[in-house]
Amino acid sequence: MRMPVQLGARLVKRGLAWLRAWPWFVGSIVLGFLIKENFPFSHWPMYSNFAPSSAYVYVVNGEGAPLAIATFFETAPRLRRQFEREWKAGLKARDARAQSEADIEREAATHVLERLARRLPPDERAAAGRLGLVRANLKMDETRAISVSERTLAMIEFDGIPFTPPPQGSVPRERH
Amino acid sequence: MNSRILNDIVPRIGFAWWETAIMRTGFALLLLFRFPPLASLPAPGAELRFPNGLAIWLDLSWALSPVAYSIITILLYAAAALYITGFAFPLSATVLFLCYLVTGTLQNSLGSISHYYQVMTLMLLGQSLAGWLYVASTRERSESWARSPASLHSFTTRVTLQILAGNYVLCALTKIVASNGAWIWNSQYMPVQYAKIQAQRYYTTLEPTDMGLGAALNELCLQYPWLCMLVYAPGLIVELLTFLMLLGRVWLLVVGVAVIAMHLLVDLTMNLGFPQHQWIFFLYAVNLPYWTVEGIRHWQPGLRRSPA
Repeated sequence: MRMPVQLGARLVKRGLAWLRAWPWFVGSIVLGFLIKENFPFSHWPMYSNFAPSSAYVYVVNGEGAPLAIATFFETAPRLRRQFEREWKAGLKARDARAQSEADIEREAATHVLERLARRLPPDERAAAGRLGLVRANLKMDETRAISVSERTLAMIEFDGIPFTPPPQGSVPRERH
Repeated sequence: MNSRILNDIVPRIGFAWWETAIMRTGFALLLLFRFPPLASLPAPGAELRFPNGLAIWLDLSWALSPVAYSIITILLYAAAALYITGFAFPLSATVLFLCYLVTGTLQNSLGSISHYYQVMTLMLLGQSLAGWLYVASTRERSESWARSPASLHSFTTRVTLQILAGNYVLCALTKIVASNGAWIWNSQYMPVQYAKIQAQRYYTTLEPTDMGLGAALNELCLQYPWLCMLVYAPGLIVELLTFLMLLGRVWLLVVGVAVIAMHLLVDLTMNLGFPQHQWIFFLYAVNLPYWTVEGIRHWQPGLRRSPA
């Protein structure tokens, strides 16, 4: 009986010695868990779990044709995260304002679109007419077939939205 | 705990001056090439809807003006040059850290958190803190500024490795916690993520995306769920075991190669590239110059060995 206890005690002692010898290692893990997503700290939640459903968003013009998100100096993954953050913030505040889910989605999409619209020069605004945000839902069924359903969340006009020209020499982002 | 035993189980790697000089040069170049461009930050005047990190308490929007951004860029270049030389190391590392802190914080304050700059910024934070600690703990404080002591850079390199290992292990732990331990099992749904990534790439540029070998592998994964688990489980295991790289030179090399291979596999199968992370592991963990010199010394035994 004494043997396993002694062995356990030795292992614990050695484990503690490791942790004492690696304070920056331990600190990185503890701080990341506590501070979570506050730059530069992170607990790295991306792809931390997988589900049979997911979603993405994209931008369309007044006629419903897609516009390259890079035109707005953004990427589709960043845009999806921005929309989801706006949407979650809207859900949080819903009780106080008694809004429907569709209203919350529209409001969140409008916030994102208004920000994007600032990057679109007058000639491209005229060509686009209006700006819309579409959400596509992906779902895997029991046979592992993936289906896509889409819905336009909001459409905005450009009236009253100032144009902020991008810095000279800057090129649209492609990957992140 | 007896310090000898501690040293036996946790060997302290002593890095030679030339190794750390090469690492600093490679890392400084990475910092210069990957610095967030002004266009990737919120437009001047745009509302920061979800202030992140330091921006919760401090208004950092002044950095969005082209003039302020230009000054930050000049500081970045000056600090990077000083950083490579190794002189006044705590100062250069701190300035580099602040440049990345301000721009990275602003970029993450629109509601979308990108994970491209955290590791580099955390490394700079660790190096700055370690540099100041070193200066505070040495008798000849002026020496740390006027010279570029090998022991200082060896210490900050060990700190860097611990921070790298800590964050990769944390990444694995988050996966285990968030999935209630079912991450490998749930990876059978990876084709859904793949379809999303493919669509997102298309809608970013509206150009047809060639997903290469990843597309063929994904087709197979759609038919055979166990293949997903087989392909993605090694990634989790590698992340979880990254701490092994702190056990010595050989472990450092093995883990460095394994992490780079993991990133290459993820890039191939999911089209999610983290080239800066691969470069960091190539510089700090694979450390090719050290093994080249060791190889030469092995064949020419008369040459003096480098520490540890």
